[in-house]
Amino acid sequence: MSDSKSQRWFSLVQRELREYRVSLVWTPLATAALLSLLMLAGLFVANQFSYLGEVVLDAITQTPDTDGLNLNVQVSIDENGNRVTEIVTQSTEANPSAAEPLRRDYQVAPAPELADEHFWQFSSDWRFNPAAPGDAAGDAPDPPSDPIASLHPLLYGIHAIMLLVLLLVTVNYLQGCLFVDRKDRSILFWKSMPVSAWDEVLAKLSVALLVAPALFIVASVLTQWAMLLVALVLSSRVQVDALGVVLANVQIGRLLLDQVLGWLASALWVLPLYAWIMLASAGARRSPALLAATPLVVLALLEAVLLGSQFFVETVWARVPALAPEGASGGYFLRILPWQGGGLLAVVAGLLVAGLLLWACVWLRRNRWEL
Amino acid sequence: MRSVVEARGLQRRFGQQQALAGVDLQLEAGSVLGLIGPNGAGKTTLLRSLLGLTRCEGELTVLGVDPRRDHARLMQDACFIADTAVLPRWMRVDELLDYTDGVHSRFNRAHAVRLLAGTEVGLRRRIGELSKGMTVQLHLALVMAIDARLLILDEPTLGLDILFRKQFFEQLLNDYFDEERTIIISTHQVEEVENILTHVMFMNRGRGLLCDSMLALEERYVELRAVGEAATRAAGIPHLGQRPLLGGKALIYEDVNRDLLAPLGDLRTPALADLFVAKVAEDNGHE
Repeated sequence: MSDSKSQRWFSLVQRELREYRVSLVWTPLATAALLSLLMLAGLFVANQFSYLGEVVLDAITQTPDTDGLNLNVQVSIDENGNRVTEIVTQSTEANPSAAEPLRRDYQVAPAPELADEHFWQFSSDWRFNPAAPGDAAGDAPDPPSDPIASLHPLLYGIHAIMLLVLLLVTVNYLQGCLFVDRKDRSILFWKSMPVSAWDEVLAKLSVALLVAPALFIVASVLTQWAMLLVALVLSSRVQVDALGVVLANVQIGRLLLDQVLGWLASALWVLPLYAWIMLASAGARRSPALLAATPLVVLALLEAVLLGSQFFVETVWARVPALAPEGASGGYFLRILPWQGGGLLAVVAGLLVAGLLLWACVWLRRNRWEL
Repeated sequence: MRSVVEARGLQRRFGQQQALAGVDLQLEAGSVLGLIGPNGAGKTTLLRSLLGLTRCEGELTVLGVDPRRDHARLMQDACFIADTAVLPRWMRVDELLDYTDGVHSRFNRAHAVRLLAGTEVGLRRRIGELSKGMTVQLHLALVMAIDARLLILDEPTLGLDILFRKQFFEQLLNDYFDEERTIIISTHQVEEVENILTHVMFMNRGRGLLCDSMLALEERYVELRAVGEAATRAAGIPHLGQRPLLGGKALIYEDVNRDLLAPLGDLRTPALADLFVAKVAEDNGHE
């Protein structure tokens, strides 16, 4: 019985993925391939290191060492194809955030003279630098920028692009999922199958909330690993122990956990918004997108005109998954616990609203499906 | 006999229009009911009410459940083809079979594939690329591979050529129908379904004009074909309707003493189409 039940859910989800195979299956793969290609282009196509290559190197090398200095290795290839390695030393006071690794007040020296044993082994310094987290914890309530996470912002960047595409694709999916089959009348076929409206709505919701994100996260993780590979190749040109340096600058397990848990948290948070779009899809006669947007805009305008406040806009906007503020990316993605500040109450309220909206979806699906 | 459909006083209103104005229907297992009516008579609304696809007032039980509450459960035992070309156009044929196999416990995929092998519908074809006739063949194969107790067909052959239509109903009757099953067909092609029906229901303006078994119709209604003087005399006897014939008239009588008519001409069972036209004309004349 449970076997046939899981097969049933599999069929329902499979049907969605097949109908939206371009946006839900091919898009993440294509985006991942595109990002990987861009990275490879940065590696192979240009005679010089491309901007991307520099970004990777900067990311690897921007972490403060134990002496309170930033050591930056800048690599370039001159016109003859010879590699020139420069080591840039810079005091942390001058640039504590390390956000701008290259400044005018560098001391530039030829590589061979400064490349002593200590320098070449600084990977171990990065990994076990006890000062940085301690300092940061004292300074600010924000999670400290992890000393060994210097590749993380870059990988989160890739993840951010993937999730941005995911959001666009999901909104498109949601506004069509309960509308398109009514428009082409194939709903008459779907309704001839022993599938209840609740099953249908929940299957579609789970595709938007879990299945599609899972596909995008897998694609994102693969791209990030490709990125690491690129970083490995890049740093192998300047580092003896390239693998050690790259691995020291990334925590794959934590990254993975952050990105998966981050989405689950976001999913819980964004649920009412998704349910709202589904309701528009279930109720629309012409344009679900318009039906979804109009009441929100009207309410926001009414509030602005009558009360002069923006509570509604802010409440809705807060539900849109957004990038975690810079420096806070050590935790969840897209936000660090999105309901921070709002508290558990906001989550529960959101879930209740979502439940009501879904119930309305089901009612419309049963009783008002004809266009 | 087990009752498959029990409907009493079904009503459905769309704004000003009364789509169903108190329809009664009783149907037992092993029947083939033809639902016949002009456009806008409420046939589709009645069928959708039976399937729980639209709300309606009145008492309604189909296969022991109230379709308005248990649509999904009813669909375990009931199948329908609501219209031609409602299969999802983006799907491939094998994907459609996968889906049905996944959600319908009474679906026999192998049987569907066997049925399709006799047609030109390839498993890898996209449904949107199929011709209308092939789409209907596909839908019929799908439905016939489901071991259902009730099959509802709403204009299943609309827009198909006569060869397809003939084949459709033959296949339905020969390969599908048995005493356990019940079929309800709504159609305009009365002549083509006439010989496979066991029961018939005429609808006009949201009401059932007539609902009876074919056997009862044969007893109640008689058509007289008379020529010349006899035709004039026959027209003097209260009749349901008449139409001109070459040199005479064909008159349809309801509950009349046949001995009275026999001397006037040929007596025969009226064709369903003629009876239908007479009934609708009578109904419209009453308004």
